[in-house]
Amino acid sequence: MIYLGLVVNKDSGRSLYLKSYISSSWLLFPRRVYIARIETKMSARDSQEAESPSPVCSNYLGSAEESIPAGVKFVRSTSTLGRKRVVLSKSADFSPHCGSSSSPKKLCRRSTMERSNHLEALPLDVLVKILCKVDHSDLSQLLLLSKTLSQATSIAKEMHFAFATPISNRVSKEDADGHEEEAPNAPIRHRVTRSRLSALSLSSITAVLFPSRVDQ
Amino acid sequence: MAKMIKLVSGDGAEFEVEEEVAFQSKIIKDIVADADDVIPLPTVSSKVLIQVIEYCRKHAAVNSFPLSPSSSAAAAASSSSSISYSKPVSDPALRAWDNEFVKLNNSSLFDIVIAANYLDIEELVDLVLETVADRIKGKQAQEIRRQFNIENDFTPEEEEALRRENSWAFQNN
Repeated sequence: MIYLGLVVNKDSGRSLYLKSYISSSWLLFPRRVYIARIETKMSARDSQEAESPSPVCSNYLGSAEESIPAGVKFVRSTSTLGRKRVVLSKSADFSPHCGSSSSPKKLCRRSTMERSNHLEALPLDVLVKILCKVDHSDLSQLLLLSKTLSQATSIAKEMHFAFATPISNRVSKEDADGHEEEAPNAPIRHRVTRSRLSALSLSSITAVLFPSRVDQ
Repeated sequence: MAKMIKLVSGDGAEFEVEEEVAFQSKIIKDIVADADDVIPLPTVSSKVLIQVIEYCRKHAAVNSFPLSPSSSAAAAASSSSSISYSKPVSDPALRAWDNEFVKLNNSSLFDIVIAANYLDIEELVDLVLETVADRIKGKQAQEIRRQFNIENDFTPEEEEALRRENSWAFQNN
């Protein structure tokens, strides 16, 4: 909006402001497209031969809206993204340093500041999201790894694991071994009770509520 | 005639993608609504952007077709994990493609995590986070340290104190 104000109000110095804008946008976005577009608008406005049938009409305000290069608008819209980008640029800055190194085991440049492409270099919210996807049983290992991970694990516990049921993996494993399937401290059953009712006697008092679709 | 969006990576390379591909990123969708179709992404390198675009292209093609009843049933059956918040990818071929896609080393994977998080591409974020989590699951502390190069910055006293405070975690071990 500020850009529009400058252009509209200072009519005599219009070309001056546009030119200064061009020079600054050149720094941001070194692409000729923007300059060509501005020049076209300027020439049309000055009633010289228009180089292309641009949609610029006499309403300069309206046309300037669409002709503003991404530079100006983007600067404004990044104000909403600004916070996000600042947070991420801290960790994203580290990534170019590690660049093409393939093995995570390379211990080059391992000061506490530069943990490039490191699990702990990830933003905390991302780290917590990752930890929310591990199993309950992994939490004890994670707590003792390092201070950063311990903190992230605590947050994950409060946010997620406190409300989720641990998934038991034991059912799928060790089916041959009878001991594993039973509860570890269950009372010993000497006599297995059997039902005194038989299906035949029940048939007079039972009815099928939901007919099976398999038959259809 | 698909509308094209231009993405400019951190090192200045430009990539033109179809609108529906780029719009998988919520951030890009919002920017395009406000401004021009050229979107600079200074925090994303070309290498990572290429991979992200590849993922979006693959998933845009799938998303454009409505889910058939059989595939939605498969989706319901396959979502057995109560912990996962994500919608499982229903197409097995796509899932296989995804699994191939994330066969990367840790540092490349983290690059994609950061980029996908920044661009807010829900499915990709879930995929890579799940992949990292899988690399953590079931491992002992020493193994995890080795895999991710994590330094143990606890003193023995601190470690002991942590164990005591968090006895809930150590009950089953």
